[in-house]
Amino acid sequence: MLFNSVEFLFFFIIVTTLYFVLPHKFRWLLLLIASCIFYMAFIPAYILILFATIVIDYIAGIYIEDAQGARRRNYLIISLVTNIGVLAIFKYFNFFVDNVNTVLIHSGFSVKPLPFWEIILPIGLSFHTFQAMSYTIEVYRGHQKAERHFGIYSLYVMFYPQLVAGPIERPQNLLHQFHEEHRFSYENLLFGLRLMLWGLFKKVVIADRLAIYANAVFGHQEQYGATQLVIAVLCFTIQIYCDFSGYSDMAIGAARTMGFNLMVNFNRPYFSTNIQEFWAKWHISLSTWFRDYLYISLGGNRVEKWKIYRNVAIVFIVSGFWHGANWTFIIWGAIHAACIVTYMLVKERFSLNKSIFTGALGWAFTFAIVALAWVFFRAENVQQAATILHRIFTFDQLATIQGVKNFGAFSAMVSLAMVAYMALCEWYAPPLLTKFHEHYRIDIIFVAVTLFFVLAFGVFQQASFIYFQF
Amino acid sequence: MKNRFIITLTVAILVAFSLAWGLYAVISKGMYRSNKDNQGKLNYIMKGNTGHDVLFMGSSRVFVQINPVQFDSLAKTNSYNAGTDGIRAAEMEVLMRHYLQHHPAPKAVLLNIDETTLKNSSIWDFPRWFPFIDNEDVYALSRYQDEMKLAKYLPPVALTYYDDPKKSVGLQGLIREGELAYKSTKGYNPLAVAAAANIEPIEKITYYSDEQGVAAFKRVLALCLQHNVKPIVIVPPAYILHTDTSDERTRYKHMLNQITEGLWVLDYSTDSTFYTKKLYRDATHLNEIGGAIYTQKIAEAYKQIISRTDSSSLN
Repeated sequence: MLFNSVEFLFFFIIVTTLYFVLPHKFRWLLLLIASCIFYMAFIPAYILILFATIVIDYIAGIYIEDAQGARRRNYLIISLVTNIGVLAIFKYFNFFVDNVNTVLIHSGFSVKPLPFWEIILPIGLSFHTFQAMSYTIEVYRGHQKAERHFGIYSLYVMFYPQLVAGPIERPQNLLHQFHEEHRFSYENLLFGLRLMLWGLFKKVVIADRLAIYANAVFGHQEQYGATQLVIAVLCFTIQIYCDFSGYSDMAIGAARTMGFNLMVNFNRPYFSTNIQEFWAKWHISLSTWFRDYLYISLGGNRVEKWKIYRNVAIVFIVSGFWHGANWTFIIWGAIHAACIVTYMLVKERFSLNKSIFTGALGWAFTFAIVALAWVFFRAENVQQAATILHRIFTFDQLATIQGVKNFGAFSAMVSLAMVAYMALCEWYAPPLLTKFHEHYRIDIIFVAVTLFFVLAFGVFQQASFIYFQF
Repeated sequence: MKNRFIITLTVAILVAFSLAWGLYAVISKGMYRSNKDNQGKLNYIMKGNTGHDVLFMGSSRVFVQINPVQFDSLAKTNSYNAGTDGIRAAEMEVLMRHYLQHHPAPKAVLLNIDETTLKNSSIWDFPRWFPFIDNEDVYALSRYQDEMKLAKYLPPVALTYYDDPKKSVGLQGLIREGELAYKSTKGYNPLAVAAAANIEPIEKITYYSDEQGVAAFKRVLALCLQHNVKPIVIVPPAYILHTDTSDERTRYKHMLNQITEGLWVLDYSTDSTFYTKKLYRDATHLNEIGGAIYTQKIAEAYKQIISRTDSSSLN
């Protein structure tokens, strides 16, 4: 069930209404049933995998809390191995097989290639697996008490607004909220609906429109010259932000209508003036996950200089691999790792004075690097990404410049106007549009105009969200 | 906060829906006036008044592969390609009825039947009909596509079905009318369907039909006869494996024979001339070379038909 579908509209209204109609003691059950229905709307059978990991992590959490010494560690390892094992089987198995087969072929072994496993990746697997892992790690670290209520723990993993594409919550922030009684609040309802409308605007007005151009060019890159490829890269750069942050806004908004506070996931990342700032503002729930559970575990900043750089590189490469089982994602992570390490080295050796000029230069440079790295993220394989970048950097214009079907001058003008509107609104009221909440009249204008833009310029093809595949 | 919530929601919905209603009306009016692209062609068929001897009617299988200019030079006629993307029997009936109301009746109509013509469980590209929604015949199409009712009763929501090309055509239609789309080619556009990167033969073709589709097609035939127009049925070629002798194909052929009993039928679906990949843009659409051969074959068949008086299949 997609957030940008009519089915979800009815689902949301029914669940939110019932949530406040039911007494507090039954609300967890309502949300759990709703979350199961939401998840099963994609591929019903996969709920069994989710259920199995929930049971293991739930038991592991209690055992970790109750055990002492090495046994605590062992229970944590069981939980982590289970979660990473599920990821490895469903997400990375075919990648492993493909690479083993390639090595065998190139080594000259005349063995039968390993067979691929024909399986569809469970939707949002990486998201709920990481959320479950953060629970057992936090219990192990003593920062979180083990949840004894199985239903509430299940809800922590399955809470429908953030189940399939985050934000990846921490137990300290979310678990206790399921125990609290949320009273109906017009303030929360307005806040949540406004944010949901904004997320819908970003998804259907901008992301899905720019996707028409980006998909056409990335799908047939051999037919397009450097100019169209650059435009396609820019389109994808904006598309992925609007697609993913749009989903996060709708998730946070849907949760807020029922009184739940989810963490901020994006904070105007494309306004960043350096790559480090970009990563402090892009997919914050994942960046902080890797910081808290991988970077710090590797020693964090409290090690020798070269080890800090090594740790940064590991985190970004693993983060790339988290996104998908393809070398393109690993290279994407490696590019960001290289940029961050370079930036850290430059910052260490030179004092970067902050002026409008350096700010603008830094913004342009950061935006360009991020946009070019997206080529690897979007490409089907490394060869395709290399072809696109080669054509861009050699200004390879094909003799026949062709347009993209269903994306003419009108679409281009609408896209530019809507991106400008989005940038203006997010500049004015970051994050989560809180400033609109403070200004009554501006808020009415904002809601009316945004709703009109959704009706007038929305692309309602019920396109899935890019991050669902992760 | 309760008052603020109610006021914000009420004002925002009223303003946004009013603006959307206005924009819908503007775009629909522009689309209705437009001469541009496929909408311009649809408007010409529905409201134009030029006479043609021969009319080609059907889906993109007509639009991209029958060249009236070539046909006229061979058959000495004044023909028009009324092929419209994705059109099905019920829409064909609406087009035929309106064509005969406004244009002088042609001598003959070549009616294309392909795999989806007789399927009427839905209307493909239904928003192109929105500018005509006040017309009873057009509104009747909402039997097959519920969303069409929105154009009549909830235009701000109907607006969400207009894609960018339609909005663009609508806005341009308000400003300037311009020359009729595909005027020099008499409705033919060989590039209306994008060329496929790889053309693979269809192993087993799926034919769709339902009672409503068959009934609508029969009404088209009745309309033709009522206006003294000779209906000729054409079954287009496709790049299929000609080992496909499935029951479904046999059943469909049998059904076609029943529908077209007593009529001229030009069946190119099993014509070996079109077994070649190089004649296709994709597995179901001929390219310009294939279209030229196809047009020539139809023109030759047409000449034979009008020189005879009896009714029998040429293939």
